[in-house]
Amino acid sequence: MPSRILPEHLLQRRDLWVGTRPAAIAAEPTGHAALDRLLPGNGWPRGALSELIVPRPGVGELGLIVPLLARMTQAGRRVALVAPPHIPYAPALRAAGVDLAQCWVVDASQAADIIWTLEQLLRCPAVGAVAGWLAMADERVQRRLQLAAEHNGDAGGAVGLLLRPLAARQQPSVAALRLALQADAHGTQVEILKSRGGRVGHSVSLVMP
Amino acid sequence: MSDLRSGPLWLCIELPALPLEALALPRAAPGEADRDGAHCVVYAQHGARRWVVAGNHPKIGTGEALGSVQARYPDLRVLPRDRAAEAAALQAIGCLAYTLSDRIVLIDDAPRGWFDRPFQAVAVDIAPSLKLFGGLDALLERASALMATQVYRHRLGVAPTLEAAAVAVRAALTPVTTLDTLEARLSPLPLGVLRWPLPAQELLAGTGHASLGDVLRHDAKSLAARLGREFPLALARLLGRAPDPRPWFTPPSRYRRRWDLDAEIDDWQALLFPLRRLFDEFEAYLRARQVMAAQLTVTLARRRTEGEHFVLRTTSPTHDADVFLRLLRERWNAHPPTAAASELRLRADQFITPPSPQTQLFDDGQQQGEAWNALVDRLRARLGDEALWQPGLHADHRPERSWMPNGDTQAPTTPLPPRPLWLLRRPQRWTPRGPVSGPAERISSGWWDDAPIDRDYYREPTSWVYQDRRDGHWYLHGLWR
Repeated sequence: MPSRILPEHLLQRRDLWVGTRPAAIAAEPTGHAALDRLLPGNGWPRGALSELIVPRPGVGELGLIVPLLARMTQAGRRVALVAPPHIPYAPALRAAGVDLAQCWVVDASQAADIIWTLEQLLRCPAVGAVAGWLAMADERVQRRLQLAAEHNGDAGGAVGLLLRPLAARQQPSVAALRLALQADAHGTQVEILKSRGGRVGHSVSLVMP
Repeated sequence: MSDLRSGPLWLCIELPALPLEALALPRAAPGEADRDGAHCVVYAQHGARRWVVAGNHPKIGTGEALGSVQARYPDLRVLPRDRAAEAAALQAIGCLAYTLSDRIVLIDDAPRGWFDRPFQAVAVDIAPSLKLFGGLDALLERASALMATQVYRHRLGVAPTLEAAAVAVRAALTPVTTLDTLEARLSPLPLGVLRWPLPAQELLAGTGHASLGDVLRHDAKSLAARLGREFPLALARLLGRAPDPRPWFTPPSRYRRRWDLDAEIDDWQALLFPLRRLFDEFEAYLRARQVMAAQLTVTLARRRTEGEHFVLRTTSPTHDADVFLRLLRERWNAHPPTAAASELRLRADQFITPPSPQTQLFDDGQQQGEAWNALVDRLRARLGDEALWQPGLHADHRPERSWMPNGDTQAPTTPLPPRPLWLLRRPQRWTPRGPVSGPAERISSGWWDDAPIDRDYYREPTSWVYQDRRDGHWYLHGLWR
């Protein structure tokens, strides 16, 4: 049976996903071609939250997001890292192509401060990408952040990245994209746990320098 | 067309309840309207006589003797007039009126005698702005909308002379737009609308003058002989036949605002409500002067004490008072005020005239820059100045010193061996699980200061480790990705 063609104005809606084709999602390339191929929109969704499950610092989470930071900052957009577990090391960021003049770090220890900061940053039209390290984030908090990320929808929206501990893997999440990271021999194993408008269950091994 | 007027056209905005509205009072909730304790009147005093000039009780009129009112409503709150608060409120409305025109006169007439009420108004010459607003109706609509955002009740009157506009308010006349029709429109009005001194008014009434027209029939000479020289002049000014020079209101060059609270408040959340009003006034002031401010001092004090100062600074000057209010809220969220307050003060001394035409503000990049600067201010206000920083470079070989918060972001890259993306704040003791192999990078530096190092760095699969050559211990110093 031939598939019924939907009216054009419906097809152009971003919030409508036609099952037979990948959803048109505004996204920023991750900079890892093997991962991009698995993601709807071929990258980090813009104006949405992505969750990265990180069992311990240094499994490749910064290597995974550094190409995004480089791309954004070189385009003159600000990026922010909120409550990182260690010092994002300026010489290495610079060597990876990040324009340090557009790169900001916010130190905060209280969960309430971190959430508030992320919300503020996500709402700001001048910010292109925000990565926040947040251990505790129940569904209510996630929805708040998701709303904040959607806030600048017309301007393209910021890429919001939440870096969560392993315990968060079992918790429900409203994030548009969820990845689980694991260090392997040559780099990082990335498993797609959830992908709005895309496929789940795939894994990809990224080689990082 | 009335757009091509030669003379002025005055809009008089009367504030009939200013003595009450200028005070910090909780507004009566609808459900409490019949409870006496929720009501309040403000009285004027002359000698031993006290009478009501403003109030929010539906059954108490202005001009009633305070004693009789108190006898009827024993729970009523009564307060004396606060002239300073009234003057400050009138100035604030004057600033607000700048959005209509920059030709503004403040009118603050005292009661003419016992049991009279003051006449307080802001008069605006709207003739130059009629075209801009698209005619009188549109402008009046704008004026009403402007006042609707305020706590003040208001009445409007329009006439070609300032005094006639005031009369138009008191007599609730529809706008009089031309001088030709002015005399005909005013003639039928009763004498009282003139607000002439009571002896003159009584003399005229006693000699059979009921309306303004009856007085206008006399020539100037006989009026001057009976009442005094100033009266024919007042009539000439009323009808636009003599110039009526008044000092224009201009906002003061420095901003000072004091606000007495109804009671002592120790919950800062509760202070935000009156502050909101004061910040709005401040914004109207900035807009009236067409300047921006980068610093505003808020002071919380008990009556006539020095108080606690909160200096709010923004990264870039702004004319948006919301920016300051948000900063204050963030500040108090993190560090609440230490003492209760019964008095609020706002102070700003330095202002910046915007360097570029306003149209540039719509430039996307600049708008983003403004949004970002405001965000930086908010983050710093809540988290502290140190919490927000930029990773920068520093010319030093020691790994822990080759970066610096807010260091150089533009320095040319030096060809270093690869460096890890994460650096630990403090190297941690580390135990090799097997033989550590690979080429070592020897970093030996800093002999000239207090933190010399002598280390061999190795690249492990995920970590960057070194052996201290002085004691032989191993340390973890960085994570590669």
